[in-house]
Amino acid sequence: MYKKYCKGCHGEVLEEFRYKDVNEAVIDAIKSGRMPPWGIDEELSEDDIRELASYIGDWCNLCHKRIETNFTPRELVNAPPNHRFKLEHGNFWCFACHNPENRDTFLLVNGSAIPFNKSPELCRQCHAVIYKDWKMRIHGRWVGNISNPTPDVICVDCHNPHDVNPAFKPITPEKPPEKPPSPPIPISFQYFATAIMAFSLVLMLYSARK
Amino acid sequence: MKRRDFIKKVVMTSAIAPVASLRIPFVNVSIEELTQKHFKEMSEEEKKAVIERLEREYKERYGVDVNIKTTPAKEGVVWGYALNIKRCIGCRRCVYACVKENNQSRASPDDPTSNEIHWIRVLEVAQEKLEPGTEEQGIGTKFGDVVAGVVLEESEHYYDPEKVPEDGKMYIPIQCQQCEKPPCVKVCPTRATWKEPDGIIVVDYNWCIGCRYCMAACPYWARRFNWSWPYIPKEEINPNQHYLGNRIRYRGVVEKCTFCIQRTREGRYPACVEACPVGARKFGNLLDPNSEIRKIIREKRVFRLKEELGTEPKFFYFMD
Repeated sequence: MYKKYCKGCHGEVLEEFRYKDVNEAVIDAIKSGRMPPWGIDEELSEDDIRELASYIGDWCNLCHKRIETNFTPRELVNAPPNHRFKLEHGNFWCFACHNPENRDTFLLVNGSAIPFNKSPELCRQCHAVIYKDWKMRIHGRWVGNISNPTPDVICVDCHNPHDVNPAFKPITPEKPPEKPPSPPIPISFQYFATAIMAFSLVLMLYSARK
Repeated sequence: MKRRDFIKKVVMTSAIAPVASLRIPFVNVSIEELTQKHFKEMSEEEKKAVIERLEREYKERYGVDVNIKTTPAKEGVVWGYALNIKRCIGCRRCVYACVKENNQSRASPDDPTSNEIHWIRVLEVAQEKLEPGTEEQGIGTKFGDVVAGVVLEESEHYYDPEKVPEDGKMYIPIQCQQCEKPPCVKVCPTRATWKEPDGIIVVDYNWCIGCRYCMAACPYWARRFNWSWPYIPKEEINPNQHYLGNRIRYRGVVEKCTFCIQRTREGRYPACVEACPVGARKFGNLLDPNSEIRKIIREKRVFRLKEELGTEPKFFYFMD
């Protein structure tokens, strides 16, 4: 699995550097398709997922612990491909949401850090109205028991915050319904037959007048 | 039990049982089916006998073990539905989730007479047609055929673009509106269709004679007719069935959306609600002030289709 999806950019990883305690949050993220960000098309088995997760461990800190934080907003040219995009989400740069002290967390405006899986708390700071709708179960998909449903997806599953337009992406529709069967005699023929009858009627009347 | 009663019972059951399951020639109806009572008048035991018979019949015809329930409506529950037309993208996921859940007939590749049945129809409306027109154009005040400035007759049923949603298009899914004053129930000559205590309009497929009056009476075009025996591939049959809901229909009977009665009476959401990828479909108890449907009615801009007809639908369309 690592060879297929990660080795291309990240190179060989020695066995001893793999994580023994697999991070459950990482497994959740792979299962829901949030990780890796460009997505995996095939169905992964439980073992495949654990294998992938053992390479990931804690996410961003893996690299960012060793890199000096640069607070200047700039275009990221030398960064890995998943970091190279044009951010047009408000007038922000990375550290509006990401925590510069600990990259595996988000930073709220009030200064408190929250884990990745609590991301709706981050979104609600600006999108308070839609967050209220979501909490009231009017926005988003809720499944389970009607009297006590659970959210099937969270904000970032449908709205990619790094996209220029985070609206729901267009999808291919299912096939249209069957058209009702056409009449056994084509309608054009019915018109034709009516026209012939009318014409012969006119002829008959004309000859009768003579 | 007295000895006399016991003997009577043994004689009766042994004498009637084989006769009752015989089928009357030409009409192909068993005596059991012919003497079946109206569903609302059946006792629990009679219901059980009918269910047993139906399960046997479905096993014979389709070769599948099905489980038919007769779960009654819960107290203090009236179901309501809301659909966010600003969010709907017209992907038809709901249509096919419904077909799968409710055992609707598919188009058979071998049988040209088989008819495909969908309970949900998604209409595509061009947004420029949404502008409420002037009175000279007949839009805005004409009775019956105009909804919030939309002429439903001019909508597109068979749209098939590469990707949805398309720019300048709006999608209005239509299914049974579960009216509080249902015109379809009024016209049924055999009382084969009625409103349940939880507000769902149901059809007893064993009582329906297929006159299709209800289809003519419905202003929402919500009812469908089985012109042929339903064609469902054996492995696609949903075995969790309800007598009044998704059990497999017969030829010549009418069927309709029941808010997935087999799911909702067990506290689960209808299949279309769970299938909607954008979460535009909302469902809840109208009598519970904390349910999502009540919050939508309280806080959002809500309209109902053809409100002026006075059918009082329990299906609400809303916008953010």
